[in-house]
Amino acid sequence: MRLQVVIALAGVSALATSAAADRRAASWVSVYADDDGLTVVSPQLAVRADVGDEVEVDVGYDVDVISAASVDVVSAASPRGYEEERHGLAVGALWRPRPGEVLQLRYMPSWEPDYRSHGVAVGASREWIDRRLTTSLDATVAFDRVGRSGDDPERWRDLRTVAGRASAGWVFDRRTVGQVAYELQWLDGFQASPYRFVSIAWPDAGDVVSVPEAVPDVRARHAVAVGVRRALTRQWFASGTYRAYADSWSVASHTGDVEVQRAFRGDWLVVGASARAYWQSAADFHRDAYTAATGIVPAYRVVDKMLAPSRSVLVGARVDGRLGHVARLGSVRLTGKLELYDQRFDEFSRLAGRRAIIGSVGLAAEYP
Amino acid sequence: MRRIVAALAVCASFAACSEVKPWQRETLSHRCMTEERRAEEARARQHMLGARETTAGATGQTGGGCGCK
Repeated sequence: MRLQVVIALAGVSALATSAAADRRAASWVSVYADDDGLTVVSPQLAVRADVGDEVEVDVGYDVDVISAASVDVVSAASPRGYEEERHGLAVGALWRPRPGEVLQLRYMPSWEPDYRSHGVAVGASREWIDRRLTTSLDATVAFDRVGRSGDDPERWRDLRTVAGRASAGWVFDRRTVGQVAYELQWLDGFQASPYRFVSIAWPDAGDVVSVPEAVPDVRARHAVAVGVRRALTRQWFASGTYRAYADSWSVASHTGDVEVQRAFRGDWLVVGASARAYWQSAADFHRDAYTAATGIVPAYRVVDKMLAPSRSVLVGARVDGRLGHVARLGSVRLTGKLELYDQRFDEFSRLAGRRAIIGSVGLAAEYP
Repeated sequence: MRRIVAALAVCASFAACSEVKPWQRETLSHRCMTEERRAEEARARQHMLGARETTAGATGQTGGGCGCK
């Protein structure tokens, strides 16, 4: 809790002491707790400021404080569970060379005891047809190192990710906007868990062997999403999105997301409710139990519930209110959110499902 | 031929949409009509879901790598 308070105060302080310019500071804290023994506290801080008329810079920092004693953890390397922290940083710059055109650059390192990542993202967007059409192209490259906590990092293994995204947004009328997006991700490298071992039964020999988890080095992922947002009246707003996904491991998924919001006194107070449904098929090499002829070990084998067939529902309610002007901070808003998450796994006998509650609080200050 | 007709139908649907003048964009600028001011909330949500579901992409969120499982 002290960490979250420090981060929030640091963000507010940074906003108040920076040079006069358009600027925004926001902090967000989420607490996730599920019935599988996992608790994650995730504070987040982001600060953005204009530098001149054409350039904007932003810095973000986030932490995951993880306490786990889940089925995966207990069955793998840590019978008593574990606690660890993950830290992420994002530094970005945005340039508006001409009205309606934006170029962006972002660097995103993250680190934890058994994972290091360096990511770079570039993006360009442009408005057309009297600002009714907005097109965007984004590309991301990440270089990750994956290993076991406590091992020599020189022995860790590489994972490279290249992603490209194209999107288009359209203003249909005075109250309706829509968007379509496509993203391709190419992953090459170590993508299994260095902690998990898979049991292979040799029924002919009456034996069971335990071998490290193994998955293909290459994974190509495709995702297409369409969304629409509409002002139903001056106070009621609704949005919906649908995403289809497929990859080279034969995993396919469908995701539907809807949200309804009611605004009071302009946008002084906004109350909203959301619901999300998700369905996923299994990777083609996933088995609940592996059986082979004596001496044979399948080339690909996993004990990963995320590669099993699954479905989930996420429902939530949020309240977002303007606190008004506070000292030199300009407009300050406070947001509270509560979500319930229910996930069911098929063909994964170790865990039938999990239920989680996620509570979040956000504080944002904007100074024109 | 079917593809050409479908493409023309899509273009016609866009053209048939109401013209929106700059002074008519008040509703479009309402905070409930944009995700820009909810970036931290969207990032937190996508990070949580990304650690629990193997599929990803097309969400507009660019994030760093994570060993989250």
